[in-house]
Amino acid sequence: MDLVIAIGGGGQHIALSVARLLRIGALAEPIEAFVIDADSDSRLAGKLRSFGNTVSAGCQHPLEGAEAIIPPFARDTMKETAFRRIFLDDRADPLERELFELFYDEESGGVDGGAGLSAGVDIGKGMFANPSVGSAVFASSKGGAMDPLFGRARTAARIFVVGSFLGGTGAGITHQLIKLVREAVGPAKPIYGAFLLRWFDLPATTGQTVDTSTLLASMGHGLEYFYRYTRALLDASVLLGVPDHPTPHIKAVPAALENDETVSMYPLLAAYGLLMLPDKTDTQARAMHRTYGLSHDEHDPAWPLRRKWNTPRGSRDATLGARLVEALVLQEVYASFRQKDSDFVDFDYEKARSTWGSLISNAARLQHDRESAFARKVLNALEARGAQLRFVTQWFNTVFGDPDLSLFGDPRARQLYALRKHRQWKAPDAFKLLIDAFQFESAAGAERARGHQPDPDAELAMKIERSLLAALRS
Amino acid sequence: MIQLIPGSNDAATTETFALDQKKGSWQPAPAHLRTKSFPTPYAQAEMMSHVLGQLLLDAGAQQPQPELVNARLQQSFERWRLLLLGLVLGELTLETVDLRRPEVDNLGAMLADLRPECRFLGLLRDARRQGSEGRRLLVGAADPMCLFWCAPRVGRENYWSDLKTRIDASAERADAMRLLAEWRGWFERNGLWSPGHESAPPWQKALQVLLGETAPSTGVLSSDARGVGPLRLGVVPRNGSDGSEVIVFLPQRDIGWGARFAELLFFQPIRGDGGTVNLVDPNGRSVVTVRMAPRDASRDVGAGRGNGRADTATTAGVELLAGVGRLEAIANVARGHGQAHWLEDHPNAQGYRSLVLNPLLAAAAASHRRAAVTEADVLAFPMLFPDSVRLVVAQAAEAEAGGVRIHLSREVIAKVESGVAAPQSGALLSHWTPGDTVPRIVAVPGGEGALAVGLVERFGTPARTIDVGELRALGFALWLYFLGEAELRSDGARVIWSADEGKELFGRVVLPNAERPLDVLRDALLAVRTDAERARARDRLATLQRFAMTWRALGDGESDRPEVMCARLGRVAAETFLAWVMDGSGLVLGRFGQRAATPVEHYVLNGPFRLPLFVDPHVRGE
Repeated sequence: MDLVIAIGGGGQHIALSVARLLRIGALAEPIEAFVIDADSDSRLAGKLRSFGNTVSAGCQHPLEGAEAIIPPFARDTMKETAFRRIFLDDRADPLERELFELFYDEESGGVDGGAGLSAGVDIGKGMFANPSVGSAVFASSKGGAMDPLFGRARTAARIFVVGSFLGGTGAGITHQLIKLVREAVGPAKPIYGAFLLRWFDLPATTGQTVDTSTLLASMGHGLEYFYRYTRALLDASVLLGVPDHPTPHIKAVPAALENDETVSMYPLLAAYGLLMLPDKTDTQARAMHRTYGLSHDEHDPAWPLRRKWNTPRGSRDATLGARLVEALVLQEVYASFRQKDSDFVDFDYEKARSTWGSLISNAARLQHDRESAFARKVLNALEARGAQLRFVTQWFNTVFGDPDLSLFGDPRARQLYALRKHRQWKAPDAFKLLIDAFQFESAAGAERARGHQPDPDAELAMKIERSLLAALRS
Repeated sequence: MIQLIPGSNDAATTETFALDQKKGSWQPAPAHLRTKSFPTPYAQAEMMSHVLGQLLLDAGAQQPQPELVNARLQQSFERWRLLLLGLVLGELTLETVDLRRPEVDNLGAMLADLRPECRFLGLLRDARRQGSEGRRLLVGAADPMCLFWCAPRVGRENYWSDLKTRIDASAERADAMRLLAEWRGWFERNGLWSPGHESAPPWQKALQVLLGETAPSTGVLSSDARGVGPLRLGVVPRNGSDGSEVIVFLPQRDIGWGARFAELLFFQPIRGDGGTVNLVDPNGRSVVTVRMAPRDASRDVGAGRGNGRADTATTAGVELLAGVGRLEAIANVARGHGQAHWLEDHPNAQGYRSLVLNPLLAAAAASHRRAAVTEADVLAFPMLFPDSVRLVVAQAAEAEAGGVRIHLSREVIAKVESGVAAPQSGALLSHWTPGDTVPRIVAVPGGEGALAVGLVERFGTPARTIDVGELRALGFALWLYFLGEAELRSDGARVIWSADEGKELFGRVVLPNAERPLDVLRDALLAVRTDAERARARDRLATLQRFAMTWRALGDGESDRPEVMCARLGRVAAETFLAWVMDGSGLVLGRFGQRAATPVEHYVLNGPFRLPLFVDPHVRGE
């Protein structure tokens, strides 16, 4: 099991990319996430936790662990949220008070009895783009909510720390977290880092705590710190951000309003680091600590779709485009099942009784359920899975501008994608694929069990999807 | 292909590219430098490192001054300069705090956890300005990379302009610069000075910019400077096996400190409580305490709220940083100066070497991550060691180059002045060749143990010479004996001036713990400090010539034979006396005249060590 530690807003964006890639098979399971952010109630956090409102009892999150956002400090149980009061209470020794005021100015650390601006940072309301405060809060809150992370890190095969050097929370704690994780796992465990530099623009406003120049200062000083202290703790890392003269495809996008997801190619490229970094790391020369950047082909803006990602069993096309083709075809297949739902639930399609109908009947019998009722549940589960795929492909469409994927995928998938693209898709095409997929039923297996056993209908829907994918790749 | 990285306009030819060096364009513009953006509580130190790292080493280069365009910036080269010179000039003090101590509670623990190498934090306090809670104002702190960084809040108190006035108006500022240049020289000699290296710590760059080609002082580090600290400082390792940090002491000007310290070594070291050794003056008063073990943190539990965390904070390997070797409770005035040097063991008591120096060398070895530290190592890089080691070793090396340790007379002790070290060694007469320059201080032969009786003509530096006159007074006594005006008392213990009321000239004296077999006595010394006896001697030139011929015929031969050494003692005393008599007279003694061939009797120093006593052959009628 690999572990992705996603820190702050940038980390959550990358974790969403990882989840999307896992959902369509462009990254190989098993990957587990540990998501850390001070604000677990944002729209972005909600989108990650629910995978765009697609997670249900019958349809699990593609990225295990991403359903929970862990605060870097015990915010909910803190009696005091004034940064100063974390260290200085009424009994504080004068020397401790002197030290605190040596390390922090009035704006960050406040003054005794101060109110408003002179109270210093109120961490209950955020870090206000103040990584020096964020790092201290995190470092002083070791243990508690963070404790499980280190156990998971010790058992993980590889660790990926993802985040950004902008903002307050992620920029503040990433370096200290990497240090603690390295101390916990020892020198031999591979740890990689994928970090976003400037990749979005804040709206031009005045009077705000955080503006673009603030972000750039955090980036610059964060990178200085990274190169001096943190980089050597990683086996390899990738840094990504907008170059000085970007083309339209790679320019900084406006930050999403109300802390929602900002749609951009950069988090996807950071997720590519999960494949690229181990590939490029010479395990015989671990002390090299290489840091990489990625290049953009301005003549082929959709180049990431042409890159080889994970190669699923049976497929001869490892490109991201191929996985997207499959995801689009599956959505069309599930839509066809819904369109002909009576055919699906009453097994009114060719060879139904000798293929899936038999399987569904047996399962229904075990559940003491009616065949058609149980089959409808399976259909619902397939539709939920389709919604997840839609959450993925819509995002890719936004990023890459509805790309033409005709040249991607294995032959059967490519053929069906062409039908869809040219609006020649017919429902029987879906049922034909379903029947063909049955030959892979026994080999398809189920998804990796996590914690609790899924409902039989959800389990069967998973099996159908895997069989369909096997048929598309055959 | 375009590189997806801020600050890049480069075309890429490959899908990935290496970013093993940070790009200069990532650095915020001076107006946008923002300390709180550093992801660490040590952000102020990081910003100082950043600012110092931007300095230019080219001579005459216009140095960047980001503080001019960024009013929020608290760290600047100018303030760094003030902190450093302030410390060297004594305007600031350096106090080391263990962040694991209970008083500093969870803040200290957090800071120490984040940077274990910074567990012992150097705090800079203003020696003149009052801070909170009765403490001196805290104005900065130390850091391995930037050396010093500024407290961010004192700027509001107009502090920096006040300090600048004090530093730049100081008449000693140039001396402080030269002292720092001497300190820098030790890094250069040890191959650890590389301010232009790509991975050089910013403090070296800043010090190079500050000092430029400033000529170093010579020997001031050992004569007029205390070592303060210690601090961890980053360096560029000389090779792969070297560390990237050293533990080093900074110099603080303190005129005469080397001499004062030398004086301390005349006090008996006695083991004290809680891992200390006290240096005790002749009246039993502890004048200084040397810390031999870290403060017992367990005794401080309850002082703070740290639940006794300090109990478990080991100081193994960081002994020097934890205060081992530090001089504490230094009394300004001792009651009397010791006569016996206490570096080596005495017959019934351990000396400084056994009780202090050797254990401190072992502690220093642990702190410096070496298998062992020898005195040669200390001489090779003295500022890596506390004063309790570096000054002792330097003075011992200097003393041993000239002879052996000596036991001083009360007369010498009475003459010791502030800022002039008492003599520690005397010339071995077995090493002195008759005809060579007459030594100023001699070790009387025939002594037992590590210390010899010392006879001191004068001591100090060329600029501050203190006259004692013991050698010429001994020569004077031999002259009186030669004239027949003095005699050896019947018990053989004293030579007395029989022609002048039986005044005692030299002999043996009993001290509280020992007997001093040869002490030049008060009346002899008084006689050679006025001109009456000199004039009387000049009136007897022919006799003086015979006196000179007598003693100048002695002292040749096998130098390790007792009679040869004793003859040389008399010859040195006679020559010193003759030089004093003839000085300024315009007369020169000729190389003729009858000499006394055999001594009348001997003054016994110890066994076969006997000082011959001659009488003028004309007096004897030879």
